[in-house]
Amino acid sequence: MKVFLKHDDLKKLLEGIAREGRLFAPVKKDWYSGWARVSSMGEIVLRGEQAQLKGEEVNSREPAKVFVFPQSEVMFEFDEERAVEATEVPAVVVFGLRSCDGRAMAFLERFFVENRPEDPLVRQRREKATLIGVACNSPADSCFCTAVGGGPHERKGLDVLLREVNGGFLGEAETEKGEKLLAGFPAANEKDEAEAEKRRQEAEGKMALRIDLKRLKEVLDKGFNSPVWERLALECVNCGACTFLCPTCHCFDVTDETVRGKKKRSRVWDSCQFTLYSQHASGHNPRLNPAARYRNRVMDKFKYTVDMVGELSCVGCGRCVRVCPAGIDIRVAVAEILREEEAGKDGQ
Amino acid sequence: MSKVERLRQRAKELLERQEVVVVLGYRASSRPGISQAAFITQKEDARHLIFDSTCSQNLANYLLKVKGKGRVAVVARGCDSRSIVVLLQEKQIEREKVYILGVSCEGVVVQGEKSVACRSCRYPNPVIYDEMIGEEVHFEPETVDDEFDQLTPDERWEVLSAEVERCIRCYACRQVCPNCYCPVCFVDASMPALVGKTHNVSDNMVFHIMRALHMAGRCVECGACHRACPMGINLMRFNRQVAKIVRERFGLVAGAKPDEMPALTIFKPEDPQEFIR
Amino acid sequence: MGNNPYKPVPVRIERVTIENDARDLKSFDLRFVDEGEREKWNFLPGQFVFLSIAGVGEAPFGIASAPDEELLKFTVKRVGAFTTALHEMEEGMVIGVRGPFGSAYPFELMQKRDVLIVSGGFSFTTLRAVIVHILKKENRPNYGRLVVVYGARTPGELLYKEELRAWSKSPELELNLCADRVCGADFFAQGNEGETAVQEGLVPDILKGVKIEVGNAVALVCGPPIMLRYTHPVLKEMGFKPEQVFLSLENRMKCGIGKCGRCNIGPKYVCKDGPVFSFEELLRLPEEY
Repeated sequence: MKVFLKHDDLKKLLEGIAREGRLFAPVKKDWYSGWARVSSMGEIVLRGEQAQLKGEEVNSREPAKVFVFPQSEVMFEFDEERAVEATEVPAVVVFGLRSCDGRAMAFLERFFVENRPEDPLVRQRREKATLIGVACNSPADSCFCTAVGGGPHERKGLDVLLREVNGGFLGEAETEKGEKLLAGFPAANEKDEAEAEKRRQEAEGKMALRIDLKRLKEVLDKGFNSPVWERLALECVNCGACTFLCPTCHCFDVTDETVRGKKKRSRVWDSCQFTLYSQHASGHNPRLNPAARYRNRVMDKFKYTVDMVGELSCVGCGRCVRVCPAGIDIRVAVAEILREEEAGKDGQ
Repeated sequence: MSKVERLRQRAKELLERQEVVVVLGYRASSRPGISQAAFITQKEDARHLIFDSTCSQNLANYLLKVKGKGRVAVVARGCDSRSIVVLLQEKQIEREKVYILGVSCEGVVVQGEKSVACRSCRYPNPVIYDEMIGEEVHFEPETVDDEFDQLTPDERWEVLSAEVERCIRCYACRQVCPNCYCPVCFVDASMPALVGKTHNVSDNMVFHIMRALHMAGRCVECGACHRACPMGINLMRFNRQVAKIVRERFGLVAGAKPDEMPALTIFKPEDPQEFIR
Repeated sequence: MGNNPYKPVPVRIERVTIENDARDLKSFDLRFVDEGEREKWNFLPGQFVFLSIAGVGEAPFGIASAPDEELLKFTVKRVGAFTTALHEMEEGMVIGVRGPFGSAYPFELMQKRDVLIVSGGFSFTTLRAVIVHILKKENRPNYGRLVVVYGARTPGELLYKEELRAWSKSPELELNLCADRVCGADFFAQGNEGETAVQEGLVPDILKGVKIEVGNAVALVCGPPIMLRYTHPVLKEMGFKPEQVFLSLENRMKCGIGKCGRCNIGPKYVCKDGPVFSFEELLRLPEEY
């Protein structure tokens, strides 16, 4: 069921939610965009040029996963040795995610909740969040969602997708929550639908990259010991920038802290790129070689999660490409992996 | 012959004559305005070397990565060469194993603007090299951070807290720094645990201040950390303050003179201090 | 387990046993504080738990007790922050536990078969659970021969010495104990309390002397990486096929349920798809463990 929201209608809707203190959207933080609670529409930044953001193209620098998987979150407080779950999370409405982030949220739900045993923290946060996505009409040069099975106008993982057309937005619900939100708005007409379609095609047309995902999986299935990894990982400095800003990276550490006499157990983001990530108490480290850690990330995105839950976890958002201090581009890495395998075959 | 052409020629020759096993330089990345470190091992690949204002990384960082592979040639500007000096002084690398291709630099440009570290650069030319590619340059450094210096300690604390509030502890700053090479960083210590891991301004502040202090007399203010930070934290502010104090107190600049050891590793009786009267 | 897999439940330390002369190996027997909690715990040997101390942290430990033993037993080596805190605790104190997690040894496959246990060092913990479970009167007839090769650096480092003494006298299993070094002063080795002999030799070498009908046997192997590396060729030489050999692996773990990511070997998590893997499965996984 497609509805039409005039610009003013959307503004009213969002302002109503903002007045309740529940609206989160991308805002200008220094020279990039990140998530914050907003009280007025003027604070919202969806495209880089609007707020003279540098290097920020179309999706917020901070990934939307922070709403279901924040950088740190208290799991329990302790009363003696008895664990007491943290208090309820508040309901939030997140506006301005892109389809890539939506797809990432769907992956996180699949991995944390559907894939048993269920993670109650992620489940609770997702239930309490309403995700209003805004379709992408001008992808950046770092975007490649279509190369990994996604698209700039996809609804997967969102509650509502808004697609901008003349005069307003075409609104489509993906979930019951989304339908409730859009109830009361008039049905969209064919003209609006056609225009949204046209914009979608234009946006898709701007992303030329194609990856043979099936072949990539086959190559990765056999390519663990390929010499390509040592080469690709040379410039990598093994920081956590790519993993922390990746909307699907889900690894975490668990840490106990005593704060003003109260004992708490929290979980915090961790990265497979860090040396100590998999190091045993005995000192043995299965991934001591930095190239092994680099390989682990690429393998996880394009192979391991496919094996585990049947889904790629790279959504083509381009964040890792933009933030890598070493200038590493995962698209180049994938191309190199495929080329190396091809060369290996020819060389026989 | 341009600087870049000369660089490529020399890299090719060094590899051809097997004087080095790898040339560490820069090459273009997949995106305009961004470069990457280049590890050139085949002489045919020397043509990929570039040198311009996109070259953001401090290549001395990679010297430790290729340690033990053989003799390495490395492209070094003023800041990079000073990092190399500190690494040599701290016995992390051997002089004979490094062939330094010195180049002068007029500053790194990020998204159309000169990097804040480069605006106040006093060392655009390498202080140590085996050969110089191109001519030296000379320009007046800007004075930056005047405002911060006028603030009271409480005001400075507010400013710095607002900065580190954004820190996600990705450690990109630490990983790109040539002089942060501890096998186990103090943030990862567990017995005792010195810094918390949760998102906490206080813990973030401890990390950044302690890292800056660990770099006192060793940080060459190259700005690699500042440019690496994905959250745009003004890391140069920390580094610059510490370097300023070292300069004012001890009259020393990290790596500026190869025969002058880092400030906190030496002691002179006339060093100013208020503890023993 | 309850519906929050991250939530520990309280257990009281009923008994602490020091297992070695260096006093860095201790066994803890734990009783659930809450009524009815023990009954909820159905586990098989091979599985593990997380022990938790509020304000300190958690760590994974293989269950050393058999399913029908009243108390949960764990043997812990003091190596870091958590294990040090645990070692400093006394009988009567309360800690937390959550689990059971992971895969168990393949008891269905082991039915009516000979069971060969090969273990080194303090990895022996979950294998104690296997032995106690098999030796239980009702269970014993379901299995064939039970042959154990268990070694440590010195006899003093062998765990569960009282039980080893009893087992060495029992006709229900064949116990081969060994140590890298047996020196005169080793009380245990001289068998002062009876006939518990400890041969001098490495586990793989002692294993070579074991006679077993491989066609009808299952091997359970648990030990440090170096022992595994030298044991595998011996088992292969004896005729064991990869599908007959089961290893219990270790890794750094934080969640125990396959979410935090770090214990992966390729697309498998040691905490969830393991820790018990058949060697055949391991051959299909990358060598990153």
